[in-house]
Amino acid sequence: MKKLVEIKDVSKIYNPGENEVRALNHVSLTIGEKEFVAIIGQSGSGKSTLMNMLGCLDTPTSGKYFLHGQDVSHMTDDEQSDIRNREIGFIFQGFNLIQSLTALENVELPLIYRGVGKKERERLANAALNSVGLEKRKTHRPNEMSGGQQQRVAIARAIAQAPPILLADEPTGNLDSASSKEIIKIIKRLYSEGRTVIIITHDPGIAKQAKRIITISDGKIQSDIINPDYKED
Amino acid sequence: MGTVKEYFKSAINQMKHNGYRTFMTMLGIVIGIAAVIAVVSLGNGMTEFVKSEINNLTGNYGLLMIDSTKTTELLTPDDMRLLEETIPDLNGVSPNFDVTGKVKGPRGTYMADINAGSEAFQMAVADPVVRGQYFSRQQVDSGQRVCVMLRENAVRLFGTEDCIGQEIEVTVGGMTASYTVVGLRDNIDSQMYNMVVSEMDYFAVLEVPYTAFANDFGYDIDKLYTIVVFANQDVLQKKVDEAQQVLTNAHGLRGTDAITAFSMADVSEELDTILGAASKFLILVAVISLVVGGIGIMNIMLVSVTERTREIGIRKSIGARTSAIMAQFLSESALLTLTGGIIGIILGLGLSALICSLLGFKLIVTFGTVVGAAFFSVAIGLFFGLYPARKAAKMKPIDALRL
Repeated sequence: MKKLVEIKDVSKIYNPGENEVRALNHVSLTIGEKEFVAIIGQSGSGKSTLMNMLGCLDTPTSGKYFLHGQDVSHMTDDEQSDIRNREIGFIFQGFNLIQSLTALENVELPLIYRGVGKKERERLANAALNSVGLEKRKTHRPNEMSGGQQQRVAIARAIAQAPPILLADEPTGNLDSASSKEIIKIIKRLYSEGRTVIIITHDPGIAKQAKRIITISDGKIQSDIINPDYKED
Repeated sequence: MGTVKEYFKSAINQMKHNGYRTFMTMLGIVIGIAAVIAVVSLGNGMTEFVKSEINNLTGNYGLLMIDSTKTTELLTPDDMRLLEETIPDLNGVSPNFDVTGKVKGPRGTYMADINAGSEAFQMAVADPVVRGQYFSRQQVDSGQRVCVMLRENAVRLFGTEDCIGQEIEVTVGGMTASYTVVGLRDNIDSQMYNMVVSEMDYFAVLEVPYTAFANDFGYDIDKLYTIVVFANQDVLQKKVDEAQQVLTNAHGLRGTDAITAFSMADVSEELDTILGAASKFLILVAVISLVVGGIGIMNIMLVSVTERTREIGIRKSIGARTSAIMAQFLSESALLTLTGGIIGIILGLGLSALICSLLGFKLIVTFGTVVGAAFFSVAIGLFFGLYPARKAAKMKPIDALRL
């Protein structure tokens, strides 16, 4: 299995000094291509910090982060933006759609930043929306859609640019159980289509959907197991 | 990249979304640009107006003056003939006696502004002779007692304009003589002139040949202090300088500055300087209001950046570079000020059209003024949008998303 994500001895310290908070404490972790990983931990365990590291949204205080073997831990802002654009699709708990844009425009956004031409952009965005079953909601704005639908738009946005990694942060945290099931189903399908999926959650019910489960607490990895109960849909 | 279009689309959305606030923010720019446009086009109109008024009042002439503190020489009719012979381009030469006296006609006696000169004098006044004729060279040379006055003077003195050939009595310095009316000039239709005389008692405006005038009222035509020369405006300055040279040589005054020359060209230049300074000052005031407007733009853009922190975080998280966020906010502020600028241009044009029509100026709007104002308003947007846009672009996505 090829290494996709490799974190080596990473620490993240907030408020350095007397009241410092060690959100991550010498964490090392490797995730290969086409894996389905859940990172589970209580709030304050450091899982969100880890997710920000993995997503190139934050830089470590010490340690290194390799993506495709390339050190991305100390890149400039713009280089990190490019990495996020190319390599990572984000799915957030709060959907994080831009309220003034329609579903289609939201999905097009990362493609705009990548410099994809209008026609190709629309084709890709339409395809992504179709694949999450939102053919009929393309011109709707986020506030005209249910939570489940909004999260599906967010998933479409994450996959439109075909990044190798999908990073989902509590993707079902704001959803009812029916919508949650729907979203998990889509995420599993995306995994089976050949993407690497990393879900960050506090919910063991969600975590056990994944093939590999990493437990984190107090900024350290407590366990890293292959899920014995994993089943393909 | 076709992304510029996206930025503007997003900027338009944002402006619509903030409707009322957008308008209030633009107001400073609207007022500033309107003021600039109004000042510039009113300034142009006023310059044109004043210039044409001055030409109206004065015609195209220059003055040659001899300074009696520097020489005992004075100017004579021989000098006039010399100028006519040596400078054929001159349209005319005349002495100038300008005195206040009285004029009496069948209907009454009035104060009179009496100008005595040669037939060339008619060139000094833009208002044409509408009845009879101006007095001729021959009438000047033979010393005939004739005169030209304004139509309205004739109505006052005779009760009718039908007075050619009638006589009036002219009194200057206690001496009185009878003059025959040979011509009536159109009334002086200059707003500036009328403004000046409106506060004064009524007086007639009379022109008479200097020969008869000097003879009747005890003036010595061999002791002239001033000679007026007439020439076309394009060569005026040159001809006046030539005339100064000729007279200086004729009186053996080379090396002194006893004979001075002054032409209307000098006045035009001075006028340009004065009007230029005035409009510079007004533009400065307008620019200050634009700067104040620009600061308003900066303020509102800072508010906007704060309000949209989350949006900025989202955009950055999905791969927006610093430059993309900058471009988005800059196009927003530029579009804001451009819209304000366009409204300001329209308002400013309307305002100056109104004022011009009230004051009787000609409205002069140049393409450059309008395009310049539009560009300037965009520049304000870019300049004052820079700091807020930079603040937005420099946000860490992680901090922006956390809110």
